[in-house]
Amino acid sequence: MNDFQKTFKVTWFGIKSCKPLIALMLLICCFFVPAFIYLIFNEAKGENPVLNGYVMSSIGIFAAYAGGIFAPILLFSYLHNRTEQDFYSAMPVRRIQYFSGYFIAGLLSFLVPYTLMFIVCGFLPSSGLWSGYLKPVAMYFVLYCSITLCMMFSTSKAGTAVTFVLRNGLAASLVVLPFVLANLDSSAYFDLLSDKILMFTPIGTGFTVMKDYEHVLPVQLVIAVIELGASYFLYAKRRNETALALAFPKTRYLFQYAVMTVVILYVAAFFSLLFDLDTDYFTEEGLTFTIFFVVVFSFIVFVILNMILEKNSKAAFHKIRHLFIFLGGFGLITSVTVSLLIANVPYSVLPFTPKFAVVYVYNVEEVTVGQDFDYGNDFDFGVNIQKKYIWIDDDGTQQHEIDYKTAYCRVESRNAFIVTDPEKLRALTSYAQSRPKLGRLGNIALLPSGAGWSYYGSSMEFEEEIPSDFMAFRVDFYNANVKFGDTITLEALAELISRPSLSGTYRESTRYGFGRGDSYISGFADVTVN
Amino acid sequence: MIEINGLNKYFSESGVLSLDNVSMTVPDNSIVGLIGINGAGKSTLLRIIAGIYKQDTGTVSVDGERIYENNRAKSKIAYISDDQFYQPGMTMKRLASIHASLREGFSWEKFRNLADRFGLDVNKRLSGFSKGMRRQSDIVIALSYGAKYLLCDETFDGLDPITRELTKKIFMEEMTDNNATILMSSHNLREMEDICDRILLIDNGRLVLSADIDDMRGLVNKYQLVLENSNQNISFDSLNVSALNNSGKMITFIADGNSEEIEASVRKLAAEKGNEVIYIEAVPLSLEEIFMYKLRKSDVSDREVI
Repeated sequence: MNDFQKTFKVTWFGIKSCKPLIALMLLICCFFVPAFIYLIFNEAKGENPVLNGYVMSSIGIFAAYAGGIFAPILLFSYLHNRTEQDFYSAMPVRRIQYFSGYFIAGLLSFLVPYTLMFIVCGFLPSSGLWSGYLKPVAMYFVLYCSITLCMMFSTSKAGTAVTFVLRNGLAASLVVLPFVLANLDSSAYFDLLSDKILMFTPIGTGFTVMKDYEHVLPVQLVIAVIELGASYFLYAKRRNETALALAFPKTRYLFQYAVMTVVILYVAAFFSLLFDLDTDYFTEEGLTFTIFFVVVFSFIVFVILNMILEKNSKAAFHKIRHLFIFLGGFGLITSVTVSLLIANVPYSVLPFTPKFAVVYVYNVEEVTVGQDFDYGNDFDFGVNIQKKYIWIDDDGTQQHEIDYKTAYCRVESRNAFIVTDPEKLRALTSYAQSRPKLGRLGNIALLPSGAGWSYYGSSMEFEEEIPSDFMAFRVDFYNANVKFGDTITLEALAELISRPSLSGTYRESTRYGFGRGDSYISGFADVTVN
Repeated sequence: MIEINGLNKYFSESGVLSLDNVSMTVPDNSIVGLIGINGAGKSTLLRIIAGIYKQDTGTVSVDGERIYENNRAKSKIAYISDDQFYQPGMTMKRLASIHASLREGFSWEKFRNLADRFGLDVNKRLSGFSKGMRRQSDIVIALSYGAKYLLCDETFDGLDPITRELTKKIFMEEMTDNNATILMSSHNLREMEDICDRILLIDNGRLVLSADIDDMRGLVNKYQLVLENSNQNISFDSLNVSALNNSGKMITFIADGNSEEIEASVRKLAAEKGNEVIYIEAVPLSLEEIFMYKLRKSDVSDREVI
């Protein structure tokens, strides 16, 4: 029996192992046949072609997810059973033959019934070859490769699940990290972020059916091929004899604390958003609650993880003291990193170097408003000089005490400049960077907060009186290449920055606070805006 | 011939060496017994020889070829695990068909003959078999390969006395008729004594004894002696004795080595003290007694020996 014949035999065994998956595919087919016939009939009459395509694509997504998740589990679960693993390992079959044979079996077990379903149920006329057939097949491949990789790394199904969560969570975190460092939170960046996250997280492959994210699928496929290679590498290197839920026992603590790190980051992000910590990170009691929930969730995850990794419920509190050392260290490192490092990262080293900046200069006047009154102006910086007013109802029966504050608000745009000179841009970014550092602290969580800078009040250093000629300015940085003439009208500028290619880039997140008059901005103008 | 040199296997999660610098040879056409206490490393060693585990350092070769990831070398080996594998609903025939499809040389005729001898119904589901019957089915399938080397991990466990005798007989036939070499681990030392040509004793991952059964019988003896002056103490330190017991007039101890030489040494020691040996007898230890004696010597067992 040569190597090819042996691989073929293994493939045949693999297909037999995939019988539940094949049955599921056929069940989907049988279940949806009446619906498909109805839809095809309607389509023939020209009714609801879009709906038909949508329904059929949905079936494809469902099949891809079901297949992509179950196929590796059905095929490679023998690696998670010591007796079964011994049985197969003792056979005169090399690992490459097992791996390739079973992997091909997984592909065939999906492709054959799905293709049949596609043909029988008439996907082709309603949703097209790409949306109805190739996309779900590609999605299946992406998930199949990713979960196979996780199966290779672990020695139990629970371990595989944790590995898959870690693989997706960590990838998303790493994608978000540069955005966090740059403190980017505009909607344009969020779109960019979504793209990148989807590229690296196979669990989100279902989104690729949407036209907005269609371009993500090729990248996912490339990553899937890399994961396939990594799967074989791990398969060849994995140890049969480990008693842990991981095939590589030496990675146990690295794995465990990687999971813990991801958990802490996501829990912190969630509760930061919940308590709206972006506004006052270190002053609200929300921080206390966030830390409390981080500790609670970390403890729960640590205990569950111990039981999964050790495959023993009695190991729940294994090295529990290490958790508290880890949490303490994590808190310390995070504080130091955020307050000393991230807050001082020069913008020049961040991945989005601005190409030009727009400097607006405003007149400011003092107003007195109710404490909770929304002035509708995001340059409303309250000085919190509170005054109590007694309000008496018209009928004179009831008195209300109302808080007022004195605020300084932008009331009129006096001027604007466009700065393109690199040296001036650097000077502006340095200036901007030196201002509201707290803004970065508010975004330490690894999920985009959606909040802009809101620290004007706290970053201002008001003296007792505001000078009468006090002006404010704001700087928006842009990362787009645009050629300017000597002058530009305000209308033209407004039109320019409203273009999709420009909106957002740095506008929301790197909009810095106020200066105190022309002295702060003199000498920056390259192009005057009239 | 199976050759192992400087074999080390480390289990990182337990932080101990499961096999520590093991070197040994299993000659062709022999039955070799692998003995040792629980956790000594017997199963790990068998798994490495079967190509299931990969050693950390050292070499394992079968007929001069490395075993791990080598189909040709692995096809010469049949491995019977201490834990049987079967899937729900699987029959013995179905399990055999998996073996047959992945192994060349599987003989269905031999399979049916052996199954008949053990009285097993090949079409019955393995889940309906008792533990002993499943063990027998593994033996039947493993022998049906016609493999040159048969590795048996605790194979006699769970077998009734009649089946044990039948299994031993079949093993002997396999060795004589097909020149098979059998390496088996077991706790049942008396059974090993009956069937094995050679014994390998593993303790705490180290090979502490490797000897032919016949040689072993005279290798370690229990001595009983009576001195003329029983009140006089003689030091036996130079003889490296153990389990020394001096109660009443009779002195007993265990010592390695040629019994005649040890008797002469004892007489000489007594004469140096002006005493005289009036009675001395060397009683060969059983395999079980040697096993316990060797474990005691390797400082891992505090159990009383003999």
